[in-house]
Amino acid sequence: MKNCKVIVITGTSRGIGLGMVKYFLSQGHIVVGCGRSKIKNNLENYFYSEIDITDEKQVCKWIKKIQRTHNRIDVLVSNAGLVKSSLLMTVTPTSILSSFIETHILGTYIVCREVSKVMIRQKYGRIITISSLSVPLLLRGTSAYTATKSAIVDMTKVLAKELAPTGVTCNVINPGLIETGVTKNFSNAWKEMLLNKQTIKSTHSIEELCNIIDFFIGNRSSCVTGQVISMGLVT
Amino acid sequence: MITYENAINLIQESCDSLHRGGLIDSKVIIDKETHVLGGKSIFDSIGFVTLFAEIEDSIMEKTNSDVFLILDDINEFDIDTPFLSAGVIASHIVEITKNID
Repeated sequence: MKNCKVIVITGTSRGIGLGMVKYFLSQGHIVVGCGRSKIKNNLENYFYSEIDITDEKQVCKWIKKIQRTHNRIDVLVSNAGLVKSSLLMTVTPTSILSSFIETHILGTYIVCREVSKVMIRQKYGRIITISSLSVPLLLRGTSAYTATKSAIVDMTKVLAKELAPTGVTCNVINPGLIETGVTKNFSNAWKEMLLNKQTIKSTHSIEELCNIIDFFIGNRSSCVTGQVISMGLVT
Repeated sequence: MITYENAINLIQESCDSLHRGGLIDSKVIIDKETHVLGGKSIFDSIGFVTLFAEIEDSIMEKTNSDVFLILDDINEFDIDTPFLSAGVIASHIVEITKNID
């Protein structure tokens, strides 16, 4: 296929990540995903690996393997993240903070770094990191989550500056409330609170999220880098 | 395993490959004193990253093993005074490939 891209997405065993996999496969792309869980994968043109993105050696090997197998990486969607119950900062255990730091900051850092090495040599690439609406909204009870998701935003902006001369763009999306298997565990009160804080007070679909990614990975956005799109929110 | 002289040659080949690919502007002649990272480096930061990735690929081609160049693993590297010569990298390549058949 003429416009077939090799798209690497982290955190694809379920939820938004899995939804993105299905969308980009339906658009005729090759998708390479990863997650901590073992999954059954029968999807054509989808290559899933069991990877812990906080393990530097595992990520290095995985990215090299992708490069060898597919000869390039056109797009990275750094999506892997943790969702845990919200607690006020005064009662949040350090272990919760550490797990967010590991996955959101360390994991995102390692994956973006290794994929960047491939993209620099290609002189082309699109990196999209997934942060959260909790960053602009500063939601109560999300201090550890929001602090680490905020780090993703600034990390992406710095990377955007560093990679600008190489033809690689880096942008961030803060998804609105998207109903997936993962959000079934959220209370209705919490969902209502979040929707009330959004400017567009409705849930969003994975397709709407993918439409934004489609814009970032297309040739028409080659001059757009270091930007943050917050779905359904005026910031 | 890769000898020190082979490692210097490998770094030279990697530089040549980057030059051919248009990733560095001018042809570079490497010896053990050549600065590849630091104030007197012949590469900018992007060039250095690209060189490291190219060297990793060359080692993999030659040894058929996954080898990764990680700055933290290079004994002579000090993050507070970042400097690397081709000779230091060559010694590190010898070290990390010594147990590979």
